Amino acid sequence: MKLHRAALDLLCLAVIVFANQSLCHGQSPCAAEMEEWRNAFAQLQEAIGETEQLKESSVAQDIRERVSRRQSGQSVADSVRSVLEQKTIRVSESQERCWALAEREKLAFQEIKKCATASANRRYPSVNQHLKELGRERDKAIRDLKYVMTQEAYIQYLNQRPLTQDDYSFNQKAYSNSWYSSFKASR
Amino acid sequence: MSTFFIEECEEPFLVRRVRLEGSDDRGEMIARCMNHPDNPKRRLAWSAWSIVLCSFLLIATPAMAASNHRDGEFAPFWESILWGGNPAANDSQSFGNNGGFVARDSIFKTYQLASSDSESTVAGDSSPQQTDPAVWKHSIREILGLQPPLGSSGEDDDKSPDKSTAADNQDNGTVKDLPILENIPPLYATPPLPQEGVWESAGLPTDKNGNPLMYRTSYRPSERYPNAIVHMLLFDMKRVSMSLYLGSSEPGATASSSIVQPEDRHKLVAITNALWKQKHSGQAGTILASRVIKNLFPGMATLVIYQDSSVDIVEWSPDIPLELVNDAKQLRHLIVKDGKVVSTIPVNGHSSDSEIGLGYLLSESEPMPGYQYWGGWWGQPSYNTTSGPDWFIATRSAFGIRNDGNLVFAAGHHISTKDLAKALVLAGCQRAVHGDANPHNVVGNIYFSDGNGRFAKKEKLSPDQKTYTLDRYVDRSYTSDFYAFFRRDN
Repeated sequence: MKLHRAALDLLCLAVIVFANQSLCHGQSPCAAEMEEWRNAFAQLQEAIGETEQLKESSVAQDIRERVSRRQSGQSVADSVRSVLEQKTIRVSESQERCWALAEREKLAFQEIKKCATASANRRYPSVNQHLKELGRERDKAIRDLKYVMTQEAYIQYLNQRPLTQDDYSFNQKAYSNSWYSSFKASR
Repeated sequence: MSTFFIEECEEPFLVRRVRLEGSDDRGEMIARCMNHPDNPKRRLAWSAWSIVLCSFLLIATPAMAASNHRDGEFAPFWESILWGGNPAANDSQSFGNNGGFVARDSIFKTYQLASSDSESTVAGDSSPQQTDPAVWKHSIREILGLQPPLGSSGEDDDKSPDKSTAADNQDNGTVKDLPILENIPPLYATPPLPQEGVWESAGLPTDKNGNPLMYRTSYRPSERYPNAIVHMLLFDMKRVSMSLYLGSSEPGATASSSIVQPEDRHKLVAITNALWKQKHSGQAGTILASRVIKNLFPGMATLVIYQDSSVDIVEWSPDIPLELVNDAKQLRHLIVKDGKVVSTIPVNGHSSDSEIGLGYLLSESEPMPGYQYWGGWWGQPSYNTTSGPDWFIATRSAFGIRNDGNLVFAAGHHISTKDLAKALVLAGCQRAVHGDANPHNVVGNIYFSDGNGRFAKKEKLSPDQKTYTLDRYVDRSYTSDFYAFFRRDN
């Protein structure tokens, strides 16, 4: 009996060691999901960079050329606008690509989170920590994305909060003072 | 029972005798003779009364005159059919406790939407060309939010009002290059507004060949506020050039930049207000006569006048070479973009209403400068600020640009930004920028030169515009920026 008991213990130990070997020192959990996300994230970052570059690239020289070559009857306004519209189209296309890649990255990240939730136990406490690190990387990319995706016209509102009705509450005294002081000042 | 009788005053100053009768004691009381003309107290009383009377005459009369004048200024021209322009002048109850406008059934009952099947009042059409009225009605009702879009087939794009400008370069049969204008069928059948939506050039300045330089119409674009009325002036920019003038209190202003110089007045045909004052415009920039007064902010809605006098309204791009720009002025965001009303804007990643306001500084009526009104004496301002749920209802102006390069100036009373923008879309504008606001600042002056540098006549675009605004810009400099429009005659 004692021999059998010892053999059973040995077998259990072997199984544990084998399992440890295969899971901890072999392929890590969520590796496939991580790989997928890494690809999506890299592509998104690349697209953000390209869009930013495109937005910042100047078409001033193109405008000058278009204006100098404009046909009779065509105004400077028409020439300027036509060049700017072409740039706007290119930027919009690039932004569309960013949207699509951002969507793909989001889905990939959701897969990692699902996988991490399923794998997170006492044996893999580092998965959640790893997710937090990825989250920080993503936050930076999202900030860049927000800037790149915001149309130039609304950059002026990027750091403002939306106005509410309270911003227009009637303060009679303040109004009166403001009106008369501004009137006096403007004379 | 004692009785009293009073002797007449004997002494010039002091006394009268009061004799007591009916009593055993006869005596005399000495009292001051109040009735004597030389009595100091009486003189004092008369002086006090005189002062009060003089004060009344001196202070009250001008105030009353101003008050009468104000009534003349503020009473809406269309009062018989509209009470727009200044609702408070007609019904103070229209404003709620918080100062916001309260719609009342009795007001709205007088307004009836035009049926989409009924014939619109386009009689007297002076435009060179008209499109299918049915198509127009549909697209207009769509723009006004009364009808769902035609569908996703792109059909609606083909029928957008702005398509009217596609044929702008064609001959209209008589004179080449005249703008092709589409009359706008009225939204409201009742009460009718004479010639609503009909572009007219009659009675407006012309070039030396008698061709129109500008066209005008009035329109009620709002379903929610039927009394909102917009007066529009469309400039034929092939025959008219425009220049920015800086207000005398604005940064960068010089003595000559705030008044139309005498040598330019014989060509002057119109003046409109410009955009907001610099102190209210935040990061907005200005270029005047090729000189950068304040750097233009990228993306901001900008009215640009190029060196060839062509005009555009754009979201400013630093790519635009400054050497091409003569004048530029900025304010916030486009209110019309791609031929559509901009109803929401992204603010820090959130969708926000596109209405443009300035806190409590928007108003529908303002006191005339230099006058104290009765209401002001008791701490009540005699102007209606806009606040509460309808804070955006105000006197506003805007500029729109059409595909044919022609500029439309719109001055609206009792109106929101979006309703003003709707009117500009109906006028065929692709892009538009908000202009100055408040009754004191919204100006559309039309000038008729006598050929000798003087004016035979000056007219207001809007009947509700303040009359005193006609004296600015040419007779004296003005504190706020403005645009002057000149006959090209080339």
